[in-house]
Amino acid sequence: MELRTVELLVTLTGALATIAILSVVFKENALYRFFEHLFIGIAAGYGVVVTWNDALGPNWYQPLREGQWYWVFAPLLALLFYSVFFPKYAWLSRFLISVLFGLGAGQVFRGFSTQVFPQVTSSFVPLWPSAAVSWGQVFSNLVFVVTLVSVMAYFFFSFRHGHKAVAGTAQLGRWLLMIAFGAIFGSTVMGRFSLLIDRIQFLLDVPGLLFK
Amino acid sequence: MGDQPQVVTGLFQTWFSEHLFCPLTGVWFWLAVLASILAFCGVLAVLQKLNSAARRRLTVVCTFLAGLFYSLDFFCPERWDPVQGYVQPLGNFLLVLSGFSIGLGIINLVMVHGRRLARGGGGAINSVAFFLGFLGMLVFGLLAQPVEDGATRVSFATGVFEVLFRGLLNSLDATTFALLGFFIVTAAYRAFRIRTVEAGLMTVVAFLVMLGQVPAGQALTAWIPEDHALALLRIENIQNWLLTVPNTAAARGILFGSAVGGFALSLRVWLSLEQGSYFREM
Repeated sequence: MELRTVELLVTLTGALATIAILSVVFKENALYRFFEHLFIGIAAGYGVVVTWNDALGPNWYQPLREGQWYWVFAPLLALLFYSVFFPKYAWLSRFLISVLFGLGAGQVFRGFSTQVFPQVTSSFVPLWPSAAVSWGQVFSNLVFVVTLVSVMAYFFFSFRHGHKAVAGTAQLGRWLLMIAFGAIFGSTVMGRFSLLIDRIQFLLDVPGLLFK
Repeated sequence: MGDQPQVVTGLFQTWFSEHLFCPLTGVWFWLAVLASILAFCGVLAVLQKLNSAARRRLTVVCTFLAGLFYSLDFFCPERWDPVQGYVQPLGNFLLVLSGFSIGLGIINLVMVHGRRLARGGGGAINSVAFFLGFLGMLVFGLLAQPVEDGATRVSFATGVFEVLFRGLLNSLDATTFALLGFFIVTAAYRAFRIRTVEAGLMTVVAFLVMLGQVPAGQALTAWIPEDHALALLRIENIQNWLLTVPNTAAARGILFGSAVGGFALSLRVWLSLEQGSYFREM
């Protein structure tokens, strides 16, 4: 197959898929639904291909071919997942998932120490100016600490927020959370629009790509 | 190389690898595979005979032992760690096990679309699209080869895979997420109309962050020189400050809360104290 033909088909199918998905902005239609299902199918197929190429091929099939017979236990054990389709044996899938939960629970200790503890220590920031810390930095650090403490107070449900100081801190935490959510929302919208601009730019470039 | 930590051999690991889990060839390999399958089926047959209470006890014990594995690895000093040598093999095994579980999702999708296809009617064409995409990507994805630099021809399978991957999957993925931009904005308009202080704060900050990322927004404060004391009021600097200071602090606060909650939940799961129906029905 000529690579030029492949590139032509990539451009044409890409343009058709982009137009089909964007068409839903005007109205739900059959073309959109067709390409939506095509997307699910291709993504599912790609998931299987990636799983085979990255996980099962090198880590299971290859060792098995090299004589490591004990890898036969992996698919046998994985069969327990599929017992969920047979009510009489469904408890076996719950058994396997419970054991995996247990493994996950054991890993939490490590996760807690490697992910949370470093962030706790790095949250102790200087709140007084020095030769290395400017007033501007102190202001940012102060906002950082106040936000952190008040957000944690807002999420602290072990006792009633009856005392004025606690209730006030929690209310401040609520407002500061909204500021954070606003920042996240703005970034997400801009990220999505960057994708949209890229797609529209691609559609504008299609004639040039086809007739170059 | 000298900085890499020394992995301590696990308890009985050498004995296991030399006497039990050693590679076999020829007929011995197939005999070992057959014996493993028979042994596994035997264990399953015995397990199936257990009553509900025994199944639950067995699950509790196995869940505890599974949790104990990584706990031992974490709490034991490195030189006396009895399981450290098993961490990497277990990680590989879990990767393979999770790889095999992908079939659960595929079976569900195939059942849903197979039923719709068998029923016929208006939506059947969409299920045809699903099967075309799924089978096409599965077959050509497994057969495709990487395209070499400077090549002018590729195999048919590679060509079809390129069309499916770059032409369809990449485009559909990017456009679907771009489409979410419209939905987020319209949903936000309905949800965050400024009626409370919280909604007002969120809207103003979102607006500032969006303005700070586009040239038109940046042009509003471009008259402030970059080296001026008031440069921190430039819209892109305000946007950057909002993202790095209050946003990071709030995200960290949420992380601390969820981490402590996750820690408590993990302990409950490990010790089988969780009382959901999922853990009771055996």
